[in-house]
Amino acid sequence: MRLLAAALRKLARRPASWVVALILLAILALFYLALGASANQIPDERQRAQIETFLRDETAVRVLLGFLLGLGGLLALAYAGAVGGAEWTWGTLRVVVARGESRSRYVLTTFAAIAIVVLLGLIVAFAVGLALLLLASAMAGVPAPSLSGEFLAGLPGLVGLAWLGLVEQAAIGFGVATVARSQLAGVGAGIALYVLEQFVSVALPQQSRYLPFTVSSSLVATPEQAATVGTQLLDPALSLGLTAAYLVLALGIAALVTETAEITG
Amino acid sequence: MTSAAGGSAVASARPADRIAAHGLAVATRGLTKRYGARPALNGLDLSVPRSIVYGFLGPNGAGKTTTLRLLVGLLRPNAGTIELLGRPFSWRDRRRLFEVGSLIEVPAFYPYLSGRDNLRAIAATGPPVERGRIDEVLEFVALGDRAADRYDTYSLGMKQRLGIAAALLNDPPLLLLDEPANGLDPAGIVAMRALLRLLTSRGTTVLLSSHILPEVEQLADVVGIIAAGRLVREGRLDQLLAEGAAVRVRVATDEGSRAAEVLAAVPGSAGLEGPTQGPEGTTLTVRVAPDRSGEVNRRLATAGIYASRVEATSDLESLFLSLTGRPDEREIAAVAPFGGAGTPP
Repeated sequence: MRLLAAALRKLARRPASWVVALILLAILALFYLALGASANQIPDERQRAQIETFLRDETAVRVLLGFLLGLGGLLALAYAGAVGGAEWTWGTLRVVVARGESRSRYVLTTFAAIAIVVLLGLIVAFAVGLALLLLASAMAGVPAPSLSGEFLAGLPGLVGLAWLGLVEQAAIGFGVATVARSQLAGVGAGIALYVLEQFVSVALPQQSRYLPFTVSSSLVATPEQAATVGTQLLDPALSLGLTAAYLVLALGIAALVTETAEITG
Repeated sequence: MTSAAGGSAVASARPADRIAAHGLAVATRGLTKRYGARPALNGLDLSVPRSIVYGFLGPNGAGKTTTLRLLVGLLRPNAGTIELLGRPFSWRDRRRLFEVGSLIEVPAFYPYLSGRDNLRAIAATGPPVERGRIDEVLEFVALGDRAADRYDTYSLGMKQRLGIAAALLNDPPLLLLDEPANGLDPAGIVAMRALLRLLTSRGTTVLLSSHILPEVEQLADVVGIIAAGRLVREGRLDQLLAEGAAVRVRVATDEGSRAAEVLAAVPGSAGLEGPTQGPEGTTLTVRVAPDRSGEVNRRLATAGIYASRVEATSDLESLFLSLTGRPDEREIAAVAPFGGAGTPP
């Protein structure tokens, strides 16, 4: 526990933690303010109705979670890559290994702290996003989203799925940075993988459903949302299983690389 | 220089199997490490007695840092054994490192944390650290006043002191320090020397790697000199200094060979180095006790050779250079600094 507490303290003091959160919140605010301001200025009724679906009812909440999982996932990937890679770049891993700390325990605990920070960030961003959603609805003259009791009951589970998706993407960034043994190379390579998968998903939409970023992003999507980009969702259980598998694989690689690495830098 | 090694048997040159590991803080036997095809350590036999400062010397690239990395499990040896504090140590025995404090290469900390928070973060790893110990070690290295400041605002010397503080967190019986005087100002070096003396008086063993010879000369009880991955000499500093004693003379360039004949005939000489041509004349070094410099000068004068300089040396530098390779003075004068080929920018 002292290791986890120390890892959390380090992340709380790390400027990148706050910068990433601010970037996410700023883009979220821009998105909803633009949506609210523009919705009632569009003359075409069909287009206007389409935009208003982003602000209506349960779809609005899913769009919000999807937004957090999409942009938030990229930020989580870069953040986790920066944290994992910095241990090598700054040489701090060398210090703890020389103190007799277990390499894999250290790496996995560091990632556990990242996952906790991501959860806190998601909760805050979701709460801020809901407030922005209400504001945008009011600006657009759309009734505030009405959520059924059943949907509200399932909401924590939906947020949990979004968190799992974010953590999986963060784990990929963390794993890549560990393999690269570099903060910069890790972040760069992680983002490159992410962008590459987006290209693949355009060229091969059906096959790309099984790829790590796409599968985790689809955790909170509805079949209708998937249809708008021309794909079919995987079975939710399969998506969940694949996301968990990618998460475990990324962390397993990170732990294995750290455990067997000769630390020269 | 005191010899805390006392009566411990540290011979100046001996086969590995003659040294019992008992009573040694660090013992390596046949330690070998290669980076790809390039050998970094080639059968290193190191014997570090307990409760002393051991000066681990060698030129750049000789294998000092590689040795320290192997001693703390950062690297795996290709061959050979390591004993720490009398017990075998392998790469997987991480808990054995609970008894070792180390500062390997440059200090490594989180730049955005304060000095104190950095030590807190490190204290959460490895062995448990006693409450209050962090402030104690910060005071130890005179960083108490700056403990709340961010690490990235520290000077090089302060970073180095924080590195030493981190190594001391667990009050380890064995301390491995790689170039600890890097970046320290003269007052800092004096303070570090006092600190290390204090620690050895309490029973701590300090293995100090350095290429700053005067620093080691003032601090070490026992010295090991490594070159090209092998231990070329190990022994008590006072013994080694006596072995390395010499009288160095400089004569006119055209008198070098005649002076060599005269000096080769000095009775009791352990050898003659030179003549070496330099920009200011020819240098020769005769291996005799420093108090015979007058006699050496008289012999030269009797032969009609008048030395422009006679220097009695009994320093580690002479010994170090004689063991690791003395650069030719003409080469020093001719080449660019640090062996670079071009003109400095």
